[in-house]
Amino acid sequence: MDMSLGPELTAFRTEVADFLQAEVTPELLDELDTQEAAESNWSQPFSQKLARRGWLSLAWPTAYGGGGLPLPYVAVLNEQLGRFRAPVGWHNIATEWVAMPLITYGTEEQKRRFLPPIARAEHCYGPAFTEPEAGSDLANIQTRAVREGDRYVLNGLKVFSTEAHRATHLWLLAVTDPGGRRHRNLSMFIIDNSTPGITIRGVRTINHGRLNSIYLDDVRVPVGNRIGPEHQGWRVAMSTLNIERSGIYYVALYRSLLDDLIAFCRTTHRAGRPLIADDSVRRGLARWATELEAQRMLSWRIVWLQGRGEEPSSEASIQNLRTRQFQHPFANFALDLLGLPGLIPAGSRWAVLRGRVEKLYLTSCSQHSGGTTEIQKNIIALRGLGLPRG
Amino acid sequence: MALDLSLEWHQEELRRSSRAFLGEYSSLQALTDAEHGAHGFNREAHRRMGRLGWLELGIASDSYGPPAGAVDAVVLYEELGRAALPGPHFICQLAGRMLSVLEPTRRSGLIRDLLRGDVIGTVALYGPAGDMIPVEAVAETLAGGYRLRGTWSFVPYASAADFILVPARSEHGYVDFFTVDPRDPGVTLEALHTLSGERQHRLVIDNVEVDASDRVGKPDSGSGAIEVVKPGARLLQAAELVGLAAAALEMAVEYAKNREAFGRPIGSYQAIQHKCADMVADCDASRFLTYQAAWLYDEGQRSDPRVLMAKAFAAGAARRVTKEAHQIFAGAGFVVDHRMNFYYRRAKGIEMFLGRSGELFDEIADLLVEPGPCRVSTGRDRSAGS
Repeated sequence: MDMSLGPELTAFRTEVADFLQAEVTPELLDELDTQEAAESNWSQPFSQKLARRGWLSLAWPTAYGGGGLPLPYVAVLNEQLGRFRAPVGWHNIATEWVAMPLITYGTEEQKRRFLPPIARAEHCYGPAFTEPEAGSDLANIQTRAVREGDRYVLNGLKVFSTEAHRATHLWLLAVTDPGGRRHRNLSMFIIDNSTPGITIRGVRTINHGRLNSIYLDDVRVPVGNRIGPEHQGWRVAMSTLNIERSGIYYVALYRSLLDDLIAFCRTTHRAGRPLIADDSVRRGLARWATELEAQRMLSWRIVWLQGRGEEPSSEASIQNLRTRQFQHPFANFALDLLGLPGLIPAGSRWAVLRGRVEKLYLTSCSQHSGGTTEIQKNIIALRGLGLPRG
Repeated sequence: MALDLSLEWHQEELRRSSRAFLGEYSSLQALTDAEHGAHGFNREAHRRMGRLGWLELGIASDSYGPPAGAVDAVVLYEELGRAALPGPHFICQLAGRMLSVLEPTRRSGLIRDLLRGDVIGTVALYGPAGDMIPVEAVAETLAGGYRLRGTWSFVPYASAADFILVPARSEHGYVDFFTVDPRDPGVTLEALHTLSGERQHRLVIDNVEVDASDRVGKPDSGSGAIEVVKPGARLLQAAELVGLAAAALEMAVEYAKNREAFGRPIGSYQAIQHKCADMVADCDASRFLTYQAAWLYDEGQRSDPRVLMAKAFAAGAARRVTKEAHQIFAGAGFVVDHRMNFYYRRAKGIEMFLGRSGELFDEIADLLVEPGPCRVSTGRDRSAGS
């Protein structure tokens, strides 16, 4: 047992922290606090700075311009990105969802075409999975891709896509074999978002964000944009091999928010004394710090497994579950400390802690992105514990 | 190798052998017998653990040096928790740690016998109302010795003890520990039956005269010694809680796979599955937090708040997991001829002893808000946060 990072990872962590200390400036955070950017905390120029250091492709094989480094490097990077609240929205769908399946299932030509622009932060990907009748039951999608010569013709409706309005590309799952068996009837596509027939309409979310509906009306996609074998798209979409899955970004992000709260409690006086002198406040801060440390360990277990070349399954759901369950009560605790000003969103001069708690409170009412909390629990119970299916 | 959460081979071996060994002493019948027996534990099991070298795990020969072996001790205590084995192993460890900190050389024979399981020693940490401070018991200085009087409570396994370490305050205001023979006519023990099932006693000492050599350590060393041994002792408790929770979860999952209701296993219902998922998260988080704490401790980072977090978290996790396990067993686990109740009760008992959750979170807050080395004091400094 050795819980240290060791010299190389420690040096890398220091390098990343120094870089982010200098680059995540108050001005950048001000910019992110504007309504448009707050949608998903994105900045292409910032992503390009990371790209220039090779940090968007750390664990890719060197043959495709990657760093060829083990996954723990990506975890160390993600922990620091969270800690400094760095904007990752421009690149993270591409780096976390698209790149590794592409490396695993893509043809040589596809890898040379799609990977370098991801590594350079030129391309932004929008996920296109969910449909009106396919949320938790994702395999129930209806969008059709019909083969016509060297193209597929796509028709359907995708909903709740986070980035589609600014994405250069879509990462899209569609039915290619309508009569085929469940999970053996889908194919995965990369689609140029400027292809004729694509219409994108935004929907405001309650946490000041935007989700998109993607209308596909006879969208013609070259066969060469199908990733992986035909009808094997479910496997491609679900492939998590070699993707950093620790969830450490969020643990570090909330830990930084807790630090901000501690600072707030030091400088804020109520009834003539600092909040931090209040026993119940101190106990609450300690409880949440302990909970976050527990989540951090659940994350490092995943990093450790991945560092040994193992693929975490229910372990990732366990970490994810714990972080989700934390968000709402933590936001509630924080609002209790901040008082009424805590309800003012980012962008207002009267907001406290940049409106982060207000946004978290709104975000935390529904835990659905990437599979609901209940789906995560199903995975833990069925795959992790071997409980029988209902 | 860095970033390695796995156990060393000798730790895996310890896990295997201790699990097999403890299986012999932790059948439902054995747990019931131990709890209702004269002294509340199986003496043979305790002695054999001493012979195997398990009572001394984690106690370094030089207690002021880097104390190696906390991870080993945590491996063993996790197994002790899984077995829900009652006994004085923990309090003997604590007594051994106190003696090693205070007088490692002069008491080496006693420490050896204690850790070999031949001698049982216990520590009186709590006053009559269940508070550790202030120490109200009195050590009146005489020529060549002391006269002790006072009342202590929640002294574990005192009826079986060959000696009790008792703290008392002298007229100088010093708090020191004294070794007292529980068979002395001035000593009265009254068994306390608490929720946890672990045997504890109320101890009254009525003007017992002891020699100067019965004071352990230099004058005014008692409070400091408690503070020195607390973090390591709490790690053992955290590990025991981890084991209790893990075993409760495993039993509940096994039951849910087999018990049928409305024509199918109750484990196929999401109400049960989702409960189990929450329990797994608690178990896994507390296990890795505890191993991290033990590793930090072995690295000499004893005042890192993450060391304190282990018990604080594991206690809550074990409480939740054993409670939910009971819910899965329902009536079947609610009767005394079932193992579950030992886990639920023991978890609360360990949580309450040597640092309740609330107290631990207070201490964690002191470290978080006021970073720096852990203060050695008998009480919390209220000005720390302001």
